[in-house]
Amino acid sequence: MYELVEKSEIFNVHKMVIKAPGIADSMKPGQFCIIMATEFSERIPMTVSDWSTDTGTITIYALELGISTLELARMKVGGSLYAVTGPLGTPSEIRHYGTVVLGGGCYGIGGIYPIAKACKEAGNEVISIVEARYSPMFYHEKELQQVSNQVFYATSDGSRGKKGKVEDVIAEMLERGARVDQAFFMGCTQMLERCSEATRPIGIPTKVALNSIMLDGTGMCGACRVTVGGETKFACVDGPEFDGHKVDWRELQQRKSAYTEQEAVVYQSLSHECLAEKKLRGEL
Amino acid sequence: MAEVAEQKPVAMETMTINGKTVSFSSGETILDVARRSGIYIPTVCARADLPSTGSCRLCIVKVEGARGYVTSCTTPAEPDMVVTTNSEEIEKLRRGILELILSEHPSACLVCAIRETCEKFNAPSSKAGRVTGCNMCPNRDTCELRQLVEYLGLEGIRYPLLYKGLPLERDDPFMDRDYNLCILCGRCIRVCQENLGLSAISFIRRGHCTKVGTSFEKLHVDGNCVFCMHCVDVCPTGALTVRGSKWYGYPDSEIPTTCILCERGCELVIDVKWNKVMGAHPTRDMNAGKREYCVKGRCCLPALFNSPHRLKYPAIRRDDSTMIYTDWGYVIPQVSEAIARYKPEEIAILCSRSLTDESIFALHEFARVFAESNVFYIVEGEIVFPSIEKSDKILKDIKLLYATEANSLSKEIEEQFVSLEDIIIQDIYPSPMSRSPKVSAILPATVFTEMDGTKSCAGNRRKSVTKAAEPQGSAIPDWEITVRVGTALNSADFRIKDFRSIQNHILRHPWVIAAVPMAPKDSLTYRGSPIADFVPDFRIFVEGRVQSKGEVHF
Repeated sequence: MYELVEKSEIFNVHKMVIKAPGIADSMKPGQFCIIMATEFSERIPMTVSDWSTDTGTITIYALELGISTLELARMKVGGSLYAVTGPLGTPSEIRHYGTVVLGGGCYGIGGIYPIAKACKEAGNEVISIVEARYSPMFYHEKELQQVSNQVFYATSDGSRGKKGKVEDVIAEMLERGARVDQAFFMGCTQMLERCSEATRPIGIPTKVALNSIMLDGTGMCGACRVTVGGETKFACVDGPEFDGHKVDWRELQQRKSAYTEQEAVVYQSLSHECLAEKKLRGEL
Repeated sequence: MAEVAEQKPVAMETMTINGKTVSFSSGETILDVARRSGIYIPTVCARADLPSTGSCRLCIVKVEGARGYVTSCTTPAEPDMVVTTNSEEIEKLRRGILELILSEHPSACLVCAIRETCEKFNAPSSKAGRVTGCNMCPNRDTCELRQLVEYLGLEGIRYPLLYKGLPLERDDPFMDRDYNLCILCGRCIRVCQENLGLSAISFIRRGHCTKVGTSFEKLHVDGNCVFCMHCVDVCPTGALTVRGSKWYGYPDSEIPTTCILCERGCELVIDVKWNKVMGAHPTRDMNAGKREYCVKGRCCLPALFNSPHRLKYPAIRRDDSTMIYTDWGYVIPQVSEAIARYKPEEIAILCSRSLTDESIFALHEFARVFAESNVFYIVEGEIVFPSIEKSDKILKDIKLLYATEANSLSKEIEEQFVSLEDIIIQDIYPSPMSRSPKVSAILPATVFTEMDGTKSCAGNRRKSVTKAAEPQGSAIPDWEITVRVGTALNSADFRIKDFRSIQNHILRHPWVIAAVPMAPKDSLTYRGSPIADFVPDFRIFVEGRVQSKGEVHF
């Protein structure tokens, strides 16, 4: 069992600090974990946004986007997760590139932090760009600022930084004649695609962390397969990072919506633990 | 009737709206007259079936001679009044009002540059707990605010978002509430207080902290709320939602049918997507003035009918006593052979009260020809024979039981059939009985949303039941199973052969259906199976009600 030692919510993004010393010891930037809330829960792959060998904890930012993540969202500090498996996936390739741009949205705002940190330590000039709907939706800010030479913000309503998305900031940078040697992006599939299109014209090497539907996370089931450069790859072991200019985005989007029906139907007989139920059991 | 006559006086006066002369009767507001005359005035808080309060101010119009602008929903029409409902100036004011409303409603998605592609790829919207934009909102496809933004051509919101930061309220059965999306139009309160007289919710707190809630913020299940979900039906935003049916986006089709869970037979609309029942709600032109549904019809149907426990395929007992799944072509001759082995007086048929008229008639016709009319019902755990001459001594002779609601067959009832040898089950759910070694066949039937037909309801009304969803597995309607088995038994006396012939016979023998007992409105079962077994929230609702009020009514 893995204890939940800290939990907070920032606009549907749930920060969860989980006691998992073995995983914290061997974690590398760009890797992920698979977690299960209870014995009967779904396995969910989660990017690890921070870890500490001192406290033996890992930090994940989980978005509530279905009943499995609803189970996570409703967990309380002191509770424990049934299983945390990791580290999984191939770590990011970290070396001295020169200037590195990191783009993050949703869970990627936290997710790019360890990559930014490692890039900074490798002597790169690190420019982080994060996007959200409104200014209060940014999180993990101070930490990201510490490991970045510059942080740019983009919001849908223009309440902070540029009105627009990560790719709008990149377009503006490139217009100013900025030189970028490597780009990393993490976020929803749509954002990854848009950002890859922004770096394609001038051929900036671009890595994107794909988030296809995944089951075992060790290359056995093939549920997470994606087509990159015409070849079938497994996001769990070959990735999650791939060349953003070679990914078959249409196929990825379609495969991600394969279970839309089941995901909607499962809410009908959802039995989430609620106060009314606890009262019935005499626990309140 | 007298009341209706009072509300509609004969004398008609005339007034002018947008240069058009329109007539009105006294008591009508400008908005009423405009709506009746086909003139659109945007509103958020006003609804024709709710008393108006003039709180959103979007329905402002110019009345010649009046100072400033008046709210059309609260201003009575007067003779010779000259009204302008839209002008450059009014539209500008309305845009300003909408901007202020949206400043307290997460709406960045409305002004986002990639809105169109985003909605195309994220359809239906993502199943977020806390909604931070249209893209994550369950109400996206029917949102009235979005329609207004479109109508008024609002391109930007000048004010920063004032997010209230209220906790999500998901601790009640069936209902999710996120008052961060609430724009305080008060429709939910008016429908609950003034139309239904329940007063489960009201405005609580003051000033900027005003919100909708129960007294002392108690759970709804502990208060007056009956979970009729009228508040959800009238909510223009995604603040109030039914948890079980909120994430399927826009339905593929909306099929009007009748809920036959009890004798009331409420008319409802089934939302169908992926050929499944995804939601049930009042008709779009519903009158919020009366309570249309109980929690059973409004909230329980999708979970009840899409249950993974449903019987899907026919099963038959083999010679080595194991049960195997098979198809209709194999099982029907087997079942008819089993029936032919017994004399008519040795066969009894348990008829479910929850069946459609056609299915009930088919069973009676079957019983008349092959089982000496031995049809009985189980009402409140007791065997009820409809004809008086059938008495308990018949029970002793019965060797084959054909049961259409096996879940109401308790151990005690089974023991009354002392010489029982064989049971044939025709049902929708498995039951403890279906594991009995006496069961020789299990025939899966459809639920009422998966078949066409009629149902006689209280007040001597016969209502139509329409097929909305596809049957689960290879289930077929009850009347069809009966007709197939009856036809296989090859008797010239068996008069029904298809749906039409059953309906013709019902018209000629109406007393058959008239004698069938009806499921009471407080029934907690469908076809003998407890609804709570398949709908976890219903169990919480019923047990909570019993704990706080000692009883449960619908």
